[in-house]
Amino acid sequence: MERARVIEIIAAYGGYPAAWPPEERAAAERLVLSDAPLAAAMNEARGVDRLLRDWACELVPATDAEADAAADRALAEAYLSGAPRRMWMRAAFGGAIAASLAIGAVLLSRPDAVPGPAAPDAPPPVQVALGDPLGEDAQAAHDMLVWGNVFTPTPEEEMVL
Amino acid sequence: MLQVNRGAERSDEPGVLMVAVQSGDEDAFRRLARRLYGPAIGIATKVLGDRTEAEDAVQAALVKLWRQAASFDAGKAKVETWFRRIVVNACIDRKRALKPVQPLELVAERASDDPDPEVLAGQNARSRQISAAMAHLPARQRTAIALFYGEGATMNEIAEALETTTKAVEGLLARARVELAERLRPLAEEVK
Repeated sequence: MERARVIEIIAAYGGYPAAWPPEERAAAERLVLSDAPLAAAMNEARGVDRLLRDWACELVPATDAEADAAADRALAEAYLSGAPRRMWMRAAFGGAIAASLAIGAVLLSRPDAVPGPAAPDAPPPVQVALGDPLGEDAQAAHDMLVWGNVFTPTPEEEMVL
Repeated sequence: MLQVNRGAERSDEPGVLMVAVQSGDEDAFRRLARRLYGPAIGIATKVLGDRTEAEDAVQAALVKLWRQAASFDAGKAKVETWFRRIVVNACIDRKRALKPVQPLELVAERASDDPDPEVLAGQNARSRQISAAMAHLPARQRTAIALFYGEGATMNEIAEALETTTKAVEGLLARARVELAERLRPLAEEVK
């Protein structure tokens, strides 16, 4: 083993041989025993080792209740932003298609709703008034289509919906 | 025989629970979360230096565990090792998104949550100083230190968690130790 490698080992693994790579430990220790500057570097590293071990081993308390709450929130988040969103979008799109088909069927089944050539003495065509059920249906279908295609709810909005 | 099977189904062994989670068992997921949460919060708090951020990171990791359960391969890693990698990634992602670290003075002056500050005053002061010094390290160096000293993880395990090589982990640890030795020199002299 080269001296430079022992320096690398002390720099990375610290001053305690127990933490050194097992396959290099014996050779590194032999070199340290015969090299005073290396022994000094090892001793120097031990102070930092102790501080870091204390810091890293300091207990961070966590309860089962916290774990349960985190698990429940994680499940809720996974469902909110996963499959349910796709299902909601599919339902909205399907609803829009169904509404469009229904309106089309109603229009085709009412001969007076299909404009034909006007008789010379016929009254002028009447605009569909606001509040007409047929007009509302068409508006609803339009809204649904826009809603389903454009509006992407956030998880919070999905909760409300 | 039936009893043995039931015992296995109710086992809190992470590997057994994970198999159930892979088939969509929410109860098994909750039990697995109990097993993994404590160590995960420990690592995340060390890496992020903030308990609230750590809780958010661990929750994000749990979401990933549930969603990516199917990709877990028991032949390649233990559940704990696999989840630790997810937690570490969640922490590093979060660290990137966070504001710059707090100035040393602010961290050092922050009030302790310890219920008995007089008894533990010296220890807490030291702990805060170390935390303040750690706050200057990049997230990957903090992670390497937390796993090496806190978890007793091997270079291979740290390399796996950080998705890098063992040689690179040696470099991360060495650079972290140089920085910390400089910042903590008086403290290190005290404990040597």
